[in-house]
Amino acid sequence: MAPGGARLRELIRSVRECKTKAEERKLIAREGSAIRESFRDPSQGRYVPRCVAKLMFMHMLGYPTHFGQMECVRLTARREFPEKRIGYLGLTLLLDENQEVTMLVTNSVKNDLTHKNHYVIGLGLCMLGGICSAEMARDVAGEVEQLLGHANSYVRKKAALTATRVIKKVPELTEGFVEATKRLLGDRHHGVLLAACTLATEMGEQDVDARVALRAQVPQLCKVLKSLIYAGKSAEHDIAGHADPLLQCAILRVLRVLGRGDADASDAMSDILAQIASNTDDSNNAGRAILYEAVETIIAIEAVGGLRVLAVNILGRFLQNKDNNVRYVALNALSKVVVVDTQAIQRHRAIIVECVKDADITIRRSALKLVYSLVNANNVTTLTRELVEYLEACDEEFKCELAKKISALALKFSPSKQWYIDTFVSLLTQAGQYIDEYECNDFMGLVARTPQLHGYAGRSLYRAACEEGANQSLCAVATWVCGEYSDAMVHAAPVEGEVLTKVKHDDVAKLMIALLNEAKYAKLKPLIMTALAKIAGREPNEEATIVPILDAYSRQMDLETQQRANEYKKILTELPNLRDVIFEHIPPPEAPKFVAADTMETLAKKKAVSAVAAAQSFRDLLSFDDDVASSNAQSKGADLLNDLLGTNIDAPASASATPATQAQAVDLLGDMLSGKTPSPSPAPPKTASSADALTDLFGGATIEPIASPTPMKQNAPTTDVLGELTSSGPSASIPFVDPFQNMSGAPPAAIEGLIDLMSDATPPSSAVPPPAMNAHPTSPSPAADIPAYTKGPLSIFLVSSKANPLDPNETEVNARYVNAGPSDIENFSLQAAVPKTMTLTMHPASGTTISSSVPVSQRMIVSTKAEHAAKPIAMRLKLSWRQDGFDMSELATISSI
Amino acid sequence: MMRYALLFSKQAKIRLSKYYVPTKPKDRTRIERDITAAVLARDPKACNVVEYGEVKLVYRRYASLYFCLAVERDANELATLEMIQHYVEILDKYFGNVCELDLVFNFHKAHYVLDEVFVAGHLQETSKKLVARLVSEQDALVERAKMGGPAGEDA
Repeated sequence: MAPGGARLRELIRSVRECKTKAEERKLIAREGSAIRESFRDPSQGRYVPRCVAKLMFMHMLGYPTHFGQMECVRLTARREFPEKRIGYLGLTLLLDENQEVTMLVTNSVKNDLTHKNHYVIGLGLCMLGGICSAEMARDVAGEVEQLLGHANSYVRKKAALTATRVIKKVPELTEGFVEATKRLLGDRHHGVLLAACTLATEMGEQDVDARVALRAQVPQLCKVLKSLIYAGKSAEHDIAGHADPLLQCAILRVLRVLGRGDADASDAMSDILAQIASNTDDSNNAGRAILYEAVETIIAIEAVGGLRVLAVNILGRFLQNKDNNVRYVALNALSKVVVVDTQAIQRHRAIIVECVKDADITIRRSALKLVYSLVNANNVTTLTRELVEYLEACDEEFKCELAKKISALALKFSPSKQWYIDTFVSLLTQAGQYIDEYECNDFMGLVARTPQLHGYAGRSLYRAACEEGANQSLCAVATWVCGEYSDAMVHAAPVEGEVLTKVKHDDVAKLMIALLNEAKYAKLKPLIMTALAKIAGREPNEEATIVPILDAYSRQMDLETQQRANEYKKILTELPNLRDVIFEHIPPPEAPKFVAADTMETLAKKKAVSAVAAAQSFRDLLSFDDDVASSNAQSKGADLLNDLLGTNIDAPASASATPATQAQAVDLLGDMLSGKTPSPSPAPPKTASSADALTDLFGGATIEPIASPTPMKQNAPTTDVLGELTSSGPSASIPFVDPFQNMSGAPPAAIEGLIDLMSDATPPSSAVPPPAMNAHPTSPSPAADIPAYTKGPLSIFLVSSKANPLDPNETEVNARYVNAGPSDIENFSLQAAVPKTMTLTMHPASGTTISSSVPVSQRMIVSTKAEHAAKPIAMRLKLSWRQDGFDMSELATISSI
Repeated sequence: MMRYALLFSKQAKIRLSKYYVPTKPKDRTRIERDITAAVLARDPKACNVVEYGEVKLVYRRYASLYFCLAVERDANELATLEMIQHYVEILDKYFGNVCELDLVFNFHKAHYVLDEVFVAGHLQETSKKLVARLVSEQDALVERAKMGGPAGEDA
């Protein structure tokens, strides 16, 4: 092989001839070692430029070339122009500012900046513009500033652009460049003027003082612009009949920066802007580029009304252009106008909506963004209908975005609840797979809070779910609503405008059974069980069909399904007295304050507060029982009895009633109310008997461990608070628990009772609610407000609870991933590992994209071995995600949850 | 300003790449892969802009070659298209009816021309004639040095 390896041309040819990537790698490796060898051998100095050129080629192919960096630095220090030229090019390609090698080049470049040949100066400036670091920028700022006044225009323009990088790296250097920039803005050379405008734009954008100082140049810039337009043809700079369009754009851009927020400057430029906006020919791209730049400037500055109208009209014209690029820029520009002037754009609404349906995804996205900001209470019906219709036709890639936007719009602007229900149901039908649980929960909460539409919503969902191939989200929502409000579906009168559907309990049950048998809805089985049980509980005729089904599922492999089936079967067949209580409608959840505005943090805080309140009222409830059971019971119980029985008891009982009489009264009472023969009450434990009596009184049932739900029913407000605490329904529970689980339907207290029922131990005293209720597991721990881990915008909240009463060693950890930043976190994945003494089961997360408004939740179950039960749960997490186009990955350790 | 410029073939082979912001080799590979895939997949009638993360890719196709500039979100896309056209016309003049092979074997020369059109990610010169003159004068300087002294540049 020749010294230094093959010539550049030969290398390129060989690489092109490689048939496989492996072959190419081998060739490059061989070439690389030849280059290294050549660098080590001082006698081969003349081949260094060739080697550097080859390295640049290898770099372009993506191979490592770091070993050539020092040689580039040496080349730039050589005297000859060819060496310098390739050395500087090598530097800009093979290095970047983060490499320390660049520091070594500072001295030689400083020498070159004072070279007598302007091309050599140009090479140095070009390199600085490409890769100079903050440190280098400080070192060369003086030279660059001087070169702004160089006699040669070639040097001046390059220096101006290099200066943009210098001030970007070290903003405090801006001041030193202001005067020179002002001078340059009066330069006659197009290239220099262009570079000066760029420099002024950068300065004005990042430095207020510079902006103010540069405003003095506005009249001069307007003059330049004017002379450009009226100067007549110049073959050198014209494009398609427009005088140097790119320079015009640059001037318009700097005017925008200087005019923004300043009435005088804006006023000074309004004439020339009006001339450009009205006289520029828009039949070719160059002309439209100028017009677009002018429009952007008019929108940004303090322009008068007339000028603005002119700008919006141009955009309207652009929207109708056949060229997709033009329509695209129009949509983007309009979305800037929309924040200040919606009215002007409403006129173009029809075209914009058409753009949402364009074949080009770039246009569709921009149009959707614009439509989203155009929607208001007046046009929401038409626009949403259009968008929903389009859902059916659009491709999968776009569907998700579109569905999310429609859902947000419908919630925000819905003119009536009926309309919202209609829209949401069609949204679910068309794109249910893209509607997440939170949105479904908001919807179900709204239905629950609107009793007059229970039947309507149920019937709409029923119709939609009956369709072939209904998606899972739709079925989940339909199942919940049908189960909850089957009575309203059957009995409630049709609402105006409703498609008449006669539904019987039988039909609803049939639908549920059909869904249950469908394998693709396997996840919904527990939910369907609940719905079926509720229907059966309400409509005894259905029992005959439903109980056998529950029975069939009571041996299901899936634990959750099996448990539900068993519970409901037992209630339906063995506990007729309880079914009304257990299968009643769950109380509607509190209306969310507006989800988007409410951060998850405040929600969590609210929840904590309500939990405290609930606990308080719970204690009151219990203390009521305590009082009854205490020694005061004698008098209190008597009073109570007196009240209840009125005068009947007065006759035999005097103020000094003997225990016997009281016991009698109690028995009498039990007798009267329960219609059952009381057990012979022993005389001394009066307290117990009066308590028994109360149980009888309230529950109307014989002594059964299940009596606990009854006091809850008596005390309506407490039930509500409890509902809040345990299964607070969709909105309030967002961050903590799997929402569908909450939707399971049975009032919480009843579930407690069931738990007792299932456990072997019978509480000693049946009258007081089981103490287990006091320490209910779902009350959020205060840790809910403190992230377990934070990295940049991402926070991870972990809330642990003992969810499974049968296994004290099992802890449920509800993880919530919140994004505080403005851009979405995508492809989020979390892997967790626990110590050997524990085992971890992870359920799938609710999504992989965390947007700032919608966090993602994930349920994990940690089982600790019994002998290590006291140990805190520790986890090691591996996180990876993508944000703003960058992949991130992090490791985190959480020492205790 | 422009973040990077890419030139690639219909077969997604990179013919020229220039980064004006520091970019790690790993990110470069990803960017180049993403962009070639995104741009090559587009319909010829679709608009010449693709939104990609923080930047907008403005591209234009010339025969088998795609010229793509990644610009800031607030850049003027129509003007960016003009810049691409401007650069391509200069290349055309410089190589005399430029074709893909010219750029394959003379990528460094395409870089020299690029450096006369853009500096620090900004447009530098709008006169094609002037750019052509500037590049050829520098080429002449190289030639002269080669005549006088030991061989310098490879071609």
